[in-house]
Amino acid sequence: MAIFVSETNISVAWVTGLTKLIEAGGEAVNLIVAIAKPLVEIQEVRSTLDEFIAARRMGNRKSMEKVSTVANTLFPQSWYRANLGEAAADHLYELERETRSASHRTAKHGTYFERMVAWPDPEKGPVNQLSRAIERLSAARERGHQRGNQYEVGVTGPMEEGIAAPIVVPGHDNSTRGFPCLSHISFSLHKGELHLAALYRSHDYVSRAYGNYIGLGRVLSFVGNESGWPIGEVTCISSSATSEFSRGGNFGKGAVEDLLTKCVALVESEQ
Amino acid sequence: MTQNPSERQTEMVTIPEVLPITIPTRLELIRSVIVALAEVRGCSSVELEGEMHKAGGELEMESPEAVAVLSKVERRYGGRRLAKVEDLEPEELTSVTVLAGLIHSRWPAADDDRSNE
Repeated sequence: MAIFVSETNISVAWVTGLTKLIEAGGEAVNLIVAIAKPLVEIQEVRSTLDEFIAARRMGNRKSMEKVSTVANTLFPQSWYRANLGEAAADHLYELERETRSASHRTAKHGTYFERMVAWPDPEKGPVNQLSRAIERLSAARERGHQRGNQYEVGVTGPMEEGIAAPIVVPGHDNSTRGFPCLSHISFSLHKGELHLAALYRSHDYVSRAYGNYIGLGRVLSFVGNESGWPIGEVTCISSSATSEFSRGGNFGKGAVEDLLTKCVALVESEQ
Repeated sequence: MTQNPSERQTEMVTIPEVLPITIPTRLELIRSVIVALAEVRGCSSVELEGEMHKAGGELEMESPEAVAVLSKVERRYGGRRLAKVEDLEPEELTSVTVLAGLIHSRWPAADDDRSNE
């Protein structure tokens, strides 16, 4: 049974998603989370989650990643330098190329950002899907288009005409667990705003979802900024989501519930 | 008497792929890290040195910046691998002096690491 969450910012959306996930017994299919302002968060909620993560990283650094690390695998914001103006996007792509070898030491399958800007086409070589989406969206803006879902293509590989960016590489990503959990992202224009939808085949909600929402918001912001479109919402569909306490999960149920209680209080104090 | 070309060729010296580099001092590494960070941030190293001076001799970095800096410094020193996998955690990649210190402390071990690849 699908669960639908639609909230104003990242923190409220994540807290509501976790609440509904726990109410459903800790696992769900088709958890759909829409975030109206995907660059906005309540800093105290992130700090509380980071404290939860830091306590576990003290024992084992491989057990969990900080929220910022998860977000950086989708979009390393510190490489996108506004001070470089029109050269900022190329600088970002160049840093990804230069850093790929070092990144692979810790992420042997690469990062989601790498798949977005250097998807490994076996025939054509690396495909920069974000650059392609930006070109098409810029062209749409110059033509005065206000909507662009006519460009949307269901794909398993990058398409010339698409503004959809697959992450999975058929025939290469054969593992049923681990990277890549994110299968696909797509951009749509509607009423003069650019929106992003992401599809996760499976989602560890406590470990990954918050950082993923931040990272997806940054991807949308980057593409919107470079193509000249104001940004709208991020919608994230988790085909399968877990609160990580059931079926041999990563945490005790009490620990996750305590975390949620703290975060709910922080959200309520902001509203 | 003029030497013929074939005789001159025999005198050519073979240049090794990786030039032997003396282990840099910690200060040299700090300087290399600042230069690389300036490239990552798209600003001048003088500007960063000024910021670092104002901040009491330290300059914080985000971990993606530090990984990019590390990649540039590794190329600067002939492609040596200057950090181990466990070094690439955000807790280890916090500032200019921390990264320079890490590279400095890993230098000999990092060379061993590379030779085992």
